[in-house]
Amino acid sequence: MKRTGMLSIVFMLMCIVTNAQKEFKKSLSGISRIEIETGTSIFLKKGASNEIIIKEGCSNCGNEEEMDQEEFYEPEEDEKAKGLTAIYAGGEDNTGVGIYMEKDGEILRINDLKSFYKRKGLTIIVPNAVAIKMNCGNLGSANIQNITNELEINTTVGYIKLNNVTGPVTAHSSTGNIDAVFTSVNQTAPISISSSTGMIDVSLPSNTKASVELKSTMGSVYSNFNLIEPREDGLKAIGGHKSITGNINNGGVKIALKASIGNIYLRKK
Amino acid sequence: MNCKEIELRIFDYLEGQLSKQEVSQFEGHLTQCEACNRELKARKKLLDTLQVIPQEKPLPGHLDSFEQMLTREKHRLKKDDALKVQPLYWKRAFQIAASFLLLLLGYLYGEYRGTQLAHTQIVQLQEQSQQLKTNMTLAMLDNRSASKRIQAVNYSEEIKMPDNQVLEAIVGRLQKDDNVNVRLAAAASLSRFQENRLVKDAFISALETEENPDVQIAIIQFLVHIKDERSVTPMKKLLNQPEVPDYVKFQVNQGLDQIL
Repeated sequence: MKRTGMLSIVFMLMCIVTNAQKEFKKSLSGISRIEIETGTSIFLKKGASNEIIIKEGCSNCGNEEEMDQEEFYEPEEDEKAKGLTAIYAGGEDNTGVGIYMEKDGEILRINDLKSFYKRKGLTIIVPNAVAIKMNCGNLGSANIQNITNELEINTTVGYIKLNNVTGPVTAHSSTGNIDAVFTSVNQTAPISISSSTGMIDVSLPSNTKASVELKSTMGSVYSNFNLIEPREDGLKAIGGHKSITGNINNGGVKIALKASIGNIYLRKK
Repeated sequence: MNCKEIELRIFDYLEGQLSKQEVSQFEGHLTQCEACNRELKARKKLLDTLQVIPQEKPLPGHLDSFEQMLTREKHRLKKDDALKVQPLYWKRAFQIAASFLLLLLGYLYGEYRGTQLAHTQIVQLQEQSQQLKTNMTLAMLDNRSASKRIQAVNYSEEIKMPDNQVLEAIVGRLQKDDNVNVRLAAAASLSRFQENRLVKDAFISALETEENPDVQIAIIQFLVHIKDERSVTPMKKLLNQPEVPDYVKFQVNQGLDQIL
Protein backbone atom coordinates (compact mmCIF):
# COMPACT_ATOMS: atom_id res chain seq x y z
CA MET A 1 0.00 0.00 0.00
CA LYS A 2 2.71 2.41 1.07
CA ARG A 3 4.69 1.78 -2.08
CA THR A 4 1.71 2.28 -4.36
CA GLY A 5 0.96 5.61 -2.64
CA MET A 6 4.53 6.77 -3.12
CA LEU A 7 4.52 5.69 -6.74
CA SER A 8 1.31 7.53 -7.48
CA ILE A 9 2.68 10.71 -5.89
CA VAL A 10 5.86 10.45 -7.95
CA PHE A 11 3.78 9.85 -11.07
CA MET A 12 1.64 12.92 -10.34
CA LEU A 13 4.72 15.04 -9.79
CA MET A 14 6.17 13.86 -13.08
CA CYS A 15 2.94 14.79 -14.83
CA ILE A 16 3.12 18.30 -13.38
CA VAL A 17 6.77 18.64 -14.38
CA THR A 18 6.21 17.48 -17.98
CA ASN A 19 3.17 19.76 -18.22
CA ALA A 20 5.20 22.64 -16.89
CA GLN A 21 7.76 22.07 -19.59
CA LYS A 22 5.10 22.44 -22.25
CA GLU A 23 3.43 25.41 -20.67
CA PHE A 24 4.56 29.00 -20.38
CA LYS A 25 2.95 31.58 -18.10
CA LYS A 26 3.52 35.28 -17.78
CA SER A 27 1.71 37.95 -15.81
CA LEU A 28 0.12 40.65 -17.96
CA SER A 29 0.06 43.54 -15.53
CA GLY A 30 0.49 46.78 -17.46
CA ILE A 31 -0.17 45.09 -20.80
CA SER A 32 -3.16 46.19 -22.90
CA ARG A 33 -2.30 44.62 -26.20
CA ILE A 34 -0.68 41.39 -27.39
CA GLU A 35 0.75 41.02 -30.86
CA ILE A 36 1.35 37.44 -31.96
CA GLU A 37 3.41 36.41 -34.98
CA THR A 38 3.41 32.73 -35.72
CA GLY A 39 3.42 30.22 -38.54
CA THR A 40 1.28 27.66 -36.81
CA SER A 41 -2.37 27.30 -35.94
CA ILE A 42 -3.56 29.01 -32.81
CA PHE A 43 -6.41 28.23 -30.49
CA LEU A 44 -7.03 31.40 -28.50
CA LYS A 45 -9.47 31.48 -25.62
CA LYS A 46 -10.38 33.53 -22.60
CA GLY A 47 -8.84 32.72 -19.24
CA ALA A 48 -9.79 33.83 -15.75
CA SER A 49 -6.42 34.99 -14.42
CA ASN A 50 -4.50 38.08 -15.48
CA GLU A 51 -1.74 36.12 -17.18
CA ILE A 52 -0.99 34.66 -20.56
CA ILE A 53 -0.68 30.89 -20.76
CA ILE A 54 0.89 29.31 -23.82
CA LYS A 55 0.57 25.56 -24.31
CA GLU A 56 2.03 23.33 -26.98
CA GLY A 57 -0.47 21.84 -29.40
CA CYS A 58 -4.07 22.58 -29.94
CA SER A 59 -6.80 20.01 -29.97
CA ASN A 60 -9.32 21.71 -32.18
CA CYS A 61 -7.43 23.68 -34.74
CA GLY A 62 -5.48 23.15 -37.89
CA ASN A 63 -5.66 20.49 -40.52
CA GLU A 64 -5.98 17.15 -38.73
CA GLU A 65 -4.19 15.13 -41.44
CA GLU A 66 -1.12 17.33 -41.38
CA MET A 67 -1.16 17.39 -37.60
CA ASP A 68 -0.93 13.63 -37.41
CA GLN A 69 2.25 13.37 -39.41
CA GLU A 70 4.38 12.70 -36.37
CA GLU A 71 7.63 12.35 -38.25
CA PHE A 72 7.83 16.12 -38.70
CA TYR A 73 8.04 16.67 -34.99
CA GLU A 74 11.12 16.88 -32.93
CA PRO A 75 11.35 14.09 -30.35
CA GLU A 76 10.85 15.25 -26.76
CA GLU A 77 14.49 14.63 -26.00
CA ASP A 78 16.98 14.92 -28.81
CA GLU A 79 20.08 12.98 -27.86
CA LYS A 80 22.18 14.79 -30.42
CA ALA A 81 21.18 18.21 -29.07
CA LYS A 82 22.58 17.49 -25.63
CA GLY A 83 24.81 20.34 -24.53
CA LEU A 84 23.55 22.54 -27.34
CA THR A 85 20.80 25.13 -27.34
CA ALA A 86 18.33 25.69 -30.11
CA ILE A 87 18.97 28.91 -31.96
CA TYR A 88 16.53 30.50 -34.32
CA ALA A 89 16.78 32.91 -37.21
CA GLY A 90 13.81 34.86 -35.94
CA GLY A 91 15.42 35.85 -32.65
CA GLU A 92 16.40 34.63 -29.21
CA ASP A 93 14.32 32.03 -27.40
CA ASN A 94 13.76 33.85 -24.13
CA THR A 95 10.82 31.75 -22.97
CA GLY A 96 12.20 28.21 -23.29
CA VAL A 97 9.32 27.19 -25.57
CA GLY A 98 10.74 28.44 -28.85
CA ILE A 99 9.08 31.85 -28.53
CA TYR A 100 10.65 35.28 -28.37
CA MET A 101 8.72 37.60 -26.11
CA GLU A 102 9.25 41.32 -25.87
CA LYS A 103 7.49 43.97 -23.84
CA ASP A 104 7.18 47.35 -25.51
CA GLY A 105 5.29 49.73 -23.26
CA GLU A 106 1.78 48.38 -23.03
CA ILE A 107 2.34 45.97 -25.90
CA LEU A 108 3.55 42.40 -25.50
CA ARG A 109 5.05 41.02 -28.72
CA ILE A 110 5.15 37.25 -29.13
CA ASN A 111 7.25 35.86 -31.94
CA ASP A 112 6.97 32.14 -32.57
CA LEU A 113 10.44 31.04 -33.63
CA LYS A 114 9.62 27.49 -34.64
CA SER A 115 8.51 26.66 -38.13
CA PHE A 116 5.07 25.40 -39.06
CA TYR A 117 6.48 21.88 -39.34
CA LYS A 118 7.99 21.87 -35.87
CA ARG A 119 4.82 23.00 -34.16
CA LYS A 120 1.67 21.07 -33.43
CA GLY A 121 -0.08 24.32 -32.98
CA LEU A 122 -0.39 26.45 -29.88
CA THR A 123 -3.12 27.01 -27.35
CA ILE A 124 -3.02 30.50 -25.90
CA ILE A 125 -5.13 31.60 -22.96
CA VAL A 126 -5.40 35.33 -22.33
CA PRO A 127 -7.45 37.52 -19.99
CA ASN A 128 -10.22 39.54 -21.55
CA ALA A 129 -8.57 42.87 -20.76
CA VAL A 130 -6.07 42.73 -23.62
CA ALA A 131 -6.58 43.47 -27.29
CA ILE A 132 -5.14 40.86 -29.64
CA LYS A 133 -3.33 41.22 -32.93
CA MET A 134 -2.46 37.89 -34.48
CA ASN A 135 -0.78 36.89 -37.70
CA CYS A 136 -0.81 33.18 -38.44
CA GLY A 137 1.71 33.23 -41.25
CA ASN A 138 1.31 31.23 -44.42
CA LEU A 139 -0.33 28.02 -43.25
CA GLY A 140 -1.58 28.63 -39.74
CA SER A 141 -5.24 29.05 -38.96
CA ALA A 142 -6.93 30.83 -36.09
CA ASN A 143 -9.64 29.54 -33.79
CA ILE A 144 -10.79 32.09 -31.25
CA GLN A 145 -13.34 31.65 -28.52
CA ASN A 146 -15.12 33.89 -26.03
CA ILE A 147 -12.86 36.89 -26.51
CA THR A 148 -14.82 40.11 -26.14
CA ASN A 149 -11.93 42.51 -26.63
CA GLU A 150 -10.59 43.84 -29.90
CA LEU A 151 -9.26 41.26 -32.38
CA GLU A 152 -7.09 41.78 -35.42
CA ILE A 153 -6.48 38.47 -37.19
CA ASN A 154 -4.59 37.72 -40.38
CA THR A 155 -4.08 34.38 -42.06
CA THR A 156 -3.03 33.42 -45.56
CA VAL A 157 -4.21 29.89 -46.27
CA GLY A 158 -5.59 28.97 -42.89
CA TYR A 159 -9.16 29.55 -41.85
CA ILE A 160 -10.36 31.99 -39.21
CA LYS A 161 -13.03 30.86 -36.76
CA LEU A 162 -14.40 33.33 -34.27
CA ASN A 163 -16.86 31.96 -31.77
CA ASN A 164 -18.75 34.06 -29.20
CA VAL A 165 -16.96 37.30 -29.93
CA THR A 166 -18.26 40.88 -29.79
CA GLY A 167 -15.79 42.88 -31.82
CA PRO A 168 -14.26 45.18 -32.77
CA VAL A 169 -12.93 42.62 -35.25
CA THR A 170 -10.60 43.13 -38.19
CA ALA A 171 -10.00 39.83 -39.94
CA HIS A 172 -8.44 38.96 -43.25
CA SER A 173 -7.58 35.70 -44.92
CA SER A 174 -6.23 35.37 -48.42
CA THR A 175 -7.68 31.98 -49.25
CA GLY A 176 -9.13 30.73 -45.98
CA ASN A 177 -12.77 30.78 -44.99
CA ILE A 178 -13.83 33.09 -42.21
CA ASP A 179 -16.63 32.13 -39.83
CA ALA A 180 -17.69 34.50 -37.11
CA VAL A 181 -20.43 34.13 -34.51
CA PHE A 182 -21.12 37.27 -32.53
CA THR A 183 -22.88 37.20 -29.16
CA SER A 184 -23.38 40.95 -29.36
CA VAL A 185 -21.80 43.73 -31.35
CA ASN A 186 -19.55 46.33 -29.72
CA GLN A 187 -20.65 49.71 -31.09
CA THR A 188 -17.41 51.61 -30.42
CA ALA A 189 -15.41 50.63 -33.49
CA PRO A 190 -16.17 49.00 -36.83
CA ILE A 191 -16.00 45.34 -37.82
CA SER A 192 -14.20 44.51 -41.08
CA ILE A 193 -13.85 41.01 -42.44
CA SER A 194 -12.33 40.24 -45.82
CA SER A 195 -11.18 37.20 -47.71
CA SER A 196 -9.89 37.03 -51.25
CA THR A 197 -11.02 33.58 -52.28
CA GLY A 198 -12.51 32.21 -49.08
CA MET A 199 -16.10 32.40 -47.95
CA ILE A 200 -17.25 34.71 -45.21
CA ASP A 201 -19.99 33.49 -42.89
CA VAL A 202 -21.11 35.86 -40.16
CA SER A 203 -23.89 35.36 -37.60
CA LEU A 204 -25.26 38.30 -35.66
CA PRO A 205 -27.93 38.48 -32.95
CA SER A 206 -31.16 39.57 -34.65
CA ASN A 207 -31.37 42.76 -32.57
CA THR A 208 -27.91 43.99 -33.64
CA LYS A 209 -27.74 47.63 -34.61
CA ALA A 210 -25.41 48.00 -37.56
CA SER A 211 -24.75 49.66 -40.88
CA VAL A 212 -23.78 46.82 -43.11
CA GLU A 213 -21.70 46.84 -46.26
CA LEU A 214 -21.53 43.54 -48.12
CA LYS A 215 -19.43 43.22 -51.21
CA SER A 216 -18.28 40.22 -53.17
CA THR A 217 -16.62 41.20 -56.43
CA MET A 218 -17.21 37.88 -58.15
CA GLY A 219 -19.23 35.90 -55.60
CA SER A 220 -22.76 36.07 -54.23
CA VAL A 221 -24.15 37.62 -51.10
CA TYR A 222 -26.81 35.91 -48.98
CA SER A 223 -28.61 37.22 -45.93
CA ASN A 224 -31.82 36.80 -43.99
CA PHE A 225 -31.52 40.27 -42.50
CA ASN A 226 -33.86 42.90 -43.81
CA LEU A 227 -31.41 45.30 -45.39
CA ILE A 228 -33.29 48.53 -45.85
CA GLU A 229 -31.73 50.89 -48.30
CA PRO A 230 -30.87 54.07 -46.37
CA ARG A 231 -31.19 56.13 -49.52
CA GLU A 232 -31.34 55.63 -53.21
CA ASP A 233 -29.27 58.33 -54.85
CA GLY A 234 -27.39 55.52 -56.57
CA LEU A 235 -24.38 57.77 -56.95
CA LYS A 236 -21.92 55.84 -54.87
CA ALA A 237 -18.65 55.69 -56.69
CA ILE A 238 -16.98 52.75 -58.30
CA GLY A 239 -16.52 49.43 -56.72
CA GLY A 240 -19.62 50.46 -54.91
CA HIS A 241 -21.77 49.42 -57.80
CA LYS A 242 -21.51 45.85 -56.66
CA SER A 243 -21.73 46.44 -52.94
CA ILE A 244 -24.86 46.10 -50.86
CA THR A 245 -25.28 48.62 -48.10
CA GLY A 246 -28.06 48.74 -45.59
CA ASN A 247 -29.02 49.39 -42.02
CA ILE A 248 -30.23 46.70 -39.68
CA ASN A 249 -32.28 47.84 -36.70
CA ASN A 250 -31.94 51.48 -37.81
CA GLY A 251 -28.19 51.36 -38.21
CA GLY A 252 -25.25 51.39 -35.85
CA VAL A 253 -21.61 50.48 -35.99
CA LYS A 254 -20.26 49.74 -39.44
CA ILE A 255 -19.82 46.11 -40.42
CA ALA A 256 -17.99 45.57 -43.70
CA LEU A 257 -17.74 42.10 -45.23
CA LYS A 258 -15.72 41.98 -48.41
CA ALA A 259 -14.77 39.06 -50.61
CA SER A 260 -13.32 38.84 -54.09
CA ILE A 261 -14.40 35.39 -55.21
CA GLY A 262 -15.97 33.73 -52.20
CA ASN A 263 -19.60 34.08 -51.20
CA ILE A 264 -20.75 36.09 -48.24
CA TYR A 265 -23.34 34.80 -45.77
CA LEU A 266 -24.85 37.11 -43.18
CA ARG A 267 -27.19 35.28 -40.81
CA LYS A 268 -29.52 36.09 -37.99
CA LYS A 269 -28.58 34.07 -34.93
CA MET B 1 -68.00 144.43 15.48
CA ASN B 2 -64.33 144.10 14.82
CA CYS B 3 -62.46 144.84 11.61
CA LYS B 4 -62.67 141.23 10.33
CA GLU B 5 -66.49 141.13 10.65
CA ILE B 6 -66.75 144.55 8.97
CA GLU B 7 -64.67 143.29 6.02
CA LEU B 8 -66.99 140.26 5.54
CA ARG B 9 -70.11 142.44 5.60
CA ILE B 10 -68.95 145.34 3.42
CA PHE B 11 -70.73 144.17 0.24
CA ASP B 12 -73.91 143.28 2.21
CA TYR B 13 -73.90 146.76 3.73
CA LEU B 14 -73.37 148.49 0.39
CA GLU B 15 -76.19 146.52 -1.17
CA GLY B 16 -78.50 147.17 1.86
CA GLN B 17 -78.74 143.53 2.95
CA LEU B 18 -78.00 144.02 6.63
CA SER B 19 -80.57 144.28 9.45
CA LYS B 20 -81.06 147.64 11.25
CA GLN B 21 -79.21 146.40 14.29
CA GLU B 22 -76.28 145.19 12.16
CA VAL B 23 -76.26 148.53 10.30
CA SER B 24 -76.02 150.51 13.53
CA GLN B 25 -73.23 148.20 14.79
CA PHE B 26 -71.50 148.50 11.41
CA GLU B 27 -71.69 152.28 11.30
CA GLY B 28 -70.66 152.46 14.97
CA HIS B 29 -67.38 150.71 14.17
CA LEU B 30 -66.78 152.82 11.07
CA THR B 31 -66.75 156.03 13.15
CA GLN B 32 -64.02 154.58 15.26
CA CYS B 33 -61.87 152.77 12.60
CA GLU B 34 -60.10 154.76 9.92
CA ALA B 35 -58.82 151.60 8.08
CA CYS B 36 -62.31 150.16 7.64
CA ASN B 37 -63.54 153.51 6.34
CA ARG B 38 -60.83 153.44 3.62
CA GLU B 39 -61.76 149.85 2.74
CA LEU B 40 -65.46 150.76 2.49
CA LYS B 41 -64.70 153.64 0.12
CA ALA B 42 -62.57 151.37 -2.14
CA ARG B 43 -65.30 148.71 -2.32
CA LYS B 44 -67.97 151.33 -3.05
CA LYS B 45 -65.86 152.63 -5.91
CA LEU B 46 -65.50 149.09 -7.32
CA LEU B 47 -69.26 148.51 -7.19
CA ASP B 48 -69.94 151.84 -8.88
CA THR B 49 -67.48 151.00 -11.66
CA LEU B 50 -69.09 147.61 -12.24
CA GLN B 51 -72.45 149.26 -12.59
CA VAL B 52 -71.09 151.64 -15.24
CA ILE B 53 -70.12 148.71 -17.62
CA PRO B 54 -73.11 148.02 -19.90
CA GLN B 55 -74.60 144.50 -19.70
CA GLU B 56 -74.16 142.33 -22.81
CA LYS B 57 -77.40 140.90 -24.18
CA PRO B 58 -77.58 137.83 -26.47
CA LEU B 59 -78.91 138.42 -30.00
CA PRO B 60 -82.48 137.20 -30.54
CA GLY B 61 -81.33 134.40 -32.92
CA HIS B 62 -79.00 132.93 -30.30
CA LEU B 63 -81.78 131.88 -28.06
CA ASP B 64 -83.54 129.99 -30.89
CA SER B 65 -80.44 128.22 -32.02
CA PHE B 66 -79.65 127.35 -28.42
CA GLU B 67 -83.09 125.80 -27.96
CA GLN B 68 -82.70 123.88 -31.21
CA MET B 69 -79.28 122.66 -30.18
CA LEU B 70 -80.65 121.53 -26.86
CA THR B 71 -83.44 119.45 -28.43
CA ARG B 72 -81.02 117.98 -30.96
CA GLU B 73 -78.65 117.00 -28.22
CA LYS B 74 -81.46 115.50 -26.14
CA HIS B 75 -82.63 113.52 -29.15
CA ARG B 76 -79.17 112.20 -29.80
CA LEU B 77 -78.64 111.23 -26.21
CA LYS B 78 -81.86 109.23 -26.33
CA LYS B 79 -80.64 107.42 -29.46
CA ASP B 80 -77.20 106.73 -27.95
CA ASP B 81 -78.86 105.28 -24.90
CA ALA B 82 -80.22 102.40 -26.98
CA LEU B 83 -76.79 101.64 -28.43
CA LYS B 84 -75.00 102.01 -25.18
CA VAL B 85 -74.18 98.27 -24.68
CA GLN B 86 -73.14 97.66 -28.28
CA PRO B 87 -70.12 99.99 -28.51
CA LEU B 88 -68.83 98.76 -25.20
CA TYR B 89 -69.03 95.16 -26.46
CA TRP B 90 -67.18 95.95 -29.68
CA LYS B 91 -64.57 97.87 -27.83
CA ARG B 92 -63.86 94.98 -25.50
CA ALA B 93 -63.77 92.53 -28.39
CA PHE B 94 -61.31 94.74 -30.16
CA GLN B 95 -59.17 94.97 -27.06
CA ILE B 96 -59.11 91.20 -26.71
CA ALA B 97 -58.37 90.78 -30.41
CA ALA B 98 -55.59 93.33 -30.17
CA SER B 99 -54.03 91.57 -27.21
CA PHE B 100 -54.23 88.26 -29.01
CA LEU B 101 -52.65 89.83 -32.07
CA LEU B 102 -49.90 91.26 -29.95
CA LEU B 103 -49.31 87.89 -28.36
CA LEU B 104 -49.26 86.19 -31.74
CA LEU B 105 -46.86 88.76 -33.16
CA GLY B 106 -44.64 88.34 -30.18
CA TYR B 107 -44.70 84.58 -30.59
CA LEU B 108 -44.01 84.78 -34.31
CA TYR B 109 -41.16 87.21 -33.78
CA GLY B 110 -39.71 85.02 -31.11
CA GLU B 111 -40.09 81.99 -33.30
CA TYR B 112 -38.42 83.79 -36.21
CA ARG B 113 -35.57 84.96 -34.06
CA GLY B 114 -35.31 81.50 -32.57
CA THR B 115 -35.17 79.69 -35.91
CA GLN B 116 -32.70 82.22 -37.24
CA LEU B 117 -30.53 81.65 -34.23
CA ALA B 118 -30.98 77.91 -34.49
CA HIS B 119 -30.12 78.07 -38.17
CA THR B 120 -26.87 79.90 -37.58
CA GLN B 121 -26.15 77.53 -34.73
CA ILE B 122 -26.78 74.53 -36.99
CA VAL B 123 -24.45 75.95 -39.62
CA GLN B 124 -21.81 76.54 -36.96
CA LEU B 125 -22.32 73.05 -35.57
CA GLN B 126 -22.04 71.54 -39.03
CA GLU B 127 -18.78 73.39 -39.58
CA GLN B 128 -17.58 72.29 -36.17
CA SER B 129 -18.51 68.67 -36.81
CA GLN B 130 -16.71 68.73 -40.15
CA GLN B 131 -13.66 70.14 -38.41
CA LEU B 132 -14.04 67.56 -35.67
CA LYS B 133 -14.25 64.74 -38.19
CA THR B 134 -11.14 66.06 -39.92
CA ASN B 135 -9.30 66.16 -36.61
CA MET B 136 -10.53 62.73 -35.59
CA THR B 137 -9.59 61.26 -38.95
CA LEU B 138 -6.08 62.66 -38.71
CA ALA B 139 -5.68 61.69 -35.06
CA MET B 140 -7.00 58.15 -35.41
CA LEU B 141 -5.34 57.22 -38.70
CA ASP B 142 -2.13 56.36 -36.84
CA ASN B 143 -3.87 54.38 -34.10
CA ARG B 144 -2.32 51.00 -33.46
CA SER B 145 -5.77 49.40 -33.54
CA ALA B 146 -6.75 48.43 -37.09
CA SER B 147 -10.41 48.82 -36.23
CA LYS B 148 -9.81 52.43 -35.11
CA ARG B 149 -7.89 53.17 -38.31
CA ILE B 150 -10.83 51.85 -40.32
CA GLN B 151 -13.13 54.00 -38.19
CA ALA B 152 -10.94 57.03 -39.01
CA VAL B 153 -11.21 56.25 -42.72
CA ASN B 154 -14.99 55.93 -42.32
CA TYR B 155 -15.10 59.33 -40.58
CA SER B 156 -13.30 60.86 -43.53
CA GLU B 157 -16.17 59.72 -45.77
CA GLU B 158 -18.40 62.13 -43.87
CA ILE B 159 -16.14 65.09 -44.59
CA LYS B 160 -17.63 66.84 -47.61
CA MET B 161 -14.49 68.58 -48.83
CA PRO B 162 -11.45 67.03 -47.16
CA ASP B 163 -8.31 69.10 -47.50
CA ASN B 164 -5.08 67.71 -48.94
CA GLN B 165 -3.77 66.93 -45.47
CA VAL B 166 -6.62 64.48 -44.93
CA LEU B 167 -6.36 63.04 -48.45
CA GLU B 168 -2.63 62.51 -48.11
CA ALA B 169 -3.12 60.81 -44.75
CA ILE B 170 -5.63 58.38 -46.28
CA VAL B 171 -3.37 57.82 -49.29
CA GLY B 172 -0.68 56.93 -46.76
CA ARG B 173 -3.01 54.25 -45.34
CA LEU B 174 -3.78 52.91 -48.83
CA GLN B 175 -0.10 52.57 -49.69
CA LYS B 176 1.54 51.69 -46.40
CA ASP B 177 -0.91 50.20 -43.88
CA ASP B 178 0.00 46.64 -42.92
CA ASN B 179 -3.63 45.62 -42.54
CA VAL B 180 -5.53 44.59 -45.67
CA ASN B 181 -8.88 45.76 -44.33
CA VAL B 182 -7.54 49.24 -43.63
CA ARG B 183 -6.12 49.44 -47.16
CA LEU B 184 -9.48 48.31 -48.56
CA ALA B 185 -11.35 50.91 -46.52
CA ALA B 186 -8.90 53.61 -47.65
CA ALA B 187 -9.40 52.60 -51.29
CA ALA B 188 -13.19 52.75 -50.88
CA SER B 189 -13.00 56.16 -49.20
CA LEU B 190 -10.68 57.64 -51.83
CA SER B 191 -12.86 56.29 -54.66
CA ARG B 192 -15.15 59.30 -54.19
CA PHE B 193 -12.54 61.67 -55.59
CA GLN B 194 -12.46 60.64 -59.20
CA GLU B 195 -11.35 64.07 -60.40
CA ASN B 196 -8.61 64.60 -57.83
CA ARG B 197 -5.11 64.41 -59.31
CA LEU B 198 -3.54 63.49 -55.97
CA VAL B 199 -5.92 60.56 -55.56
CA LYS B 200 -5.48 59.32 -59.14
CA ASP B 201 -1.68 59.37 -58.80
CA ALA B 202 -1.96 57.57 -55.46
CA PHE B 203 -3.99 54.74 -56.99
CA ILE B 204 -1.59 54.35 -59.90
CA SER B 205 1.46 54.14 -57.64
CA ALA B 206 -0.40 51.84 -55.22
CA LEU B 207 -1.12 49.42 -58.07
CA GLU B 208 2.63 48.95 -58.56
CA THR B 209 3.33 48.16 -54.92
CA GLU B 210 0.17 46.40 -53.74
CA GLU B 211 0.43 42.63 -53.36
CA ASN B 212 -2.92 41.69 -51.85
CA PRO B 213 -5.39 40.58 -54.55
CA ASP B 214 -8.41 42.21 -52.84
CA VAL B 215 -6.78 45.61 -52.72
CA GLN B 216 -5.42 45.12 -56.24
CA ILE B 217 -8.98 44.55 -57.47
CA ALA B 218 -10.27 47.65 -55.64
CA ILE B 219 -7.51 49.74 -57.23
CA ILE B 220 -8.11 48.27 -60.69
CA GLN B 221 -11.85 48.96 -60.43
CA PHE B 222 -11.21 52.60 -59.57
CA LEU B 223 -8.68 53.12 -62.36
CA VAL B 224 -10.97 51.42 -64.88
CA HIS B 225 -13.89 53.58 -63.75
CA ILE B 226 -11.98 56.85 -64.26
CA LYS B 227 -10.47 55.46 -67.49
CA ASP B 228 -7.02 56.76 -66.68
CA GLU B 229 -4.71 55.69 -69.52
CA ARG B 230 -1.63 56.04 -67.34
CA SER B 231 -2.80 52.90 -65.51
CA VAL B 232 -2.43 50.71 -68.63
CA THR B 233 1.31 50.09 -68.14
CA PRO B 234 1.17 49.00 -64.48
CA MET B 235 -1.90 46.87 -65.23
CA LYS B 236 -0.16 45.10 -68.08
CA LYS B 237 2.77 44.53 -65.74
CA LEU B 238 0.46 42.63 -63.38
CA LEU B 239 -0.48 40.27 -66.21
CA ASN B 240 3.14 39.17 -66.50
CA GLN B 241 3.63 38.43 -62.80
CA PRO B 242 3.25 34.73 -62.01
CA GLU B 243 2.27 35.30 -58.36
CA VAL B 244 -0.73 37.42 -59.28
CA PRO B 245 -3.86 35.22 -59.03
CA ASP B 246 -5.88 34.48 -62.16
CA TYR B 247 -8.98 36.29 -60.94
CA VAL B 248 -7.00 39.50 -60.58
CA LYS B 249 -5.67 39.04 -64.12
CA PHE B 250 -9.26 38.49 -65.22
CA GLN B 251 -10.19 41.87 -63.71
CA VAL B 252 -7.17 43.46 -65.40
CA ASN B 253 -8.16 42.09 -68.81
CA GLN B 254 -11.75 43.24 -68.38
CA GLY B 255 -10.52 46.66 -67.26
CA LEU B 256 -8.06 47.03 -70.12
CA ASP B 257 -10.90 46.35 -72.58
CA GLN B 258 -12.86 49.21 -71.04
CA ILE B 259 -9.99 51.71 -70.96
CA LEU B 260 -8.65 51.07 -74.44
